[in-house]
Amino acid sequence: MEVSEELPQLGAASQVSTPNRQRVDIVFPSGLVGCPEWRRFAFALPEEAPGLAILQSLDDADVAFVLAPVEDLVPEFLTTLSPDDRELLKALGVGHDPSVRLYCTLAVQTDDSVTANLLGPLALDFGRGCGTQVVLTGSPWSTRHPIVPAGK
Amino acid sequence: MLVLSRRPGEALLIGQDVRIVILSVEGERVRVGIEAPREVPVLRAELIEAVSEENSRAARVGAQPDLLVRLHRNLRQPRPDATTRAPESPP
Repeated sequence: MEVSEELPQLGAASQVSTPNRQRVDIVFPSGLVGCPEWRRFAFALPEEAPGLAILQSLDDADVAFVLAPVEDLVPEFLTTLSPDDRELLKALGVGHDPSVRLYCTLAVQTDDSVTANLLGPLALDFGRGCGTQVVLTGSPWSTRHPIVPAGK
Repeated sequence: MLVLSRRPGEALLIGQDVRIVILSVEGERVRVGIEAPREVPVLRAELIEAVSEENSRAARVGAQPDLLVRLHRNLRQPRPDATTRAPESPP
């Protein structure tokens, strides 16, 4: 996989409307894509990694995601989306409801690089305590957007 | 699996609300038109499969103790010119 040498910087956007509480329970009514049984999670902000978040399954101790705010990785993300995708995210509150934030999962690939799933981001509504995984259509993002090259 | 043959211009109905029309066939490419209620998501299967596969991979990331530190170290590096841009055309 070709990995960008440019590394995004977690910016001030992390400070906006992030829940102050250490832990927030989030329910995904339909589960995650391909994993409908993964519904109940605890969202937490780890002290050792400000700007990142942990989404720990309350049903399966072995399931835990590391999340990053999409706008911190790709500030212009919303403007790159197809009109349908933008409308879909807007309907979930992304971009106008201050209690809703868009996160993406991070994954370590077999070459040890770290990637972000920007094709299937998570809209988390901290006001209602619920989340939705969106699958974008017609937008130029992949499930493995390079974030940290191998060996770094 | 139900298998049907259709010609361009012919349609299929799935339930009351979903209508699928074969628009054209050119070589190996079939253009399909879909009419469905807004609440019925219509997605290319490979997108669902890709996101599902990545969910399975990412679900184990939180259990790797040194990863958060590594991620944090890399993501916090000051790179004033650092930007990640979308590719110019969809993959």
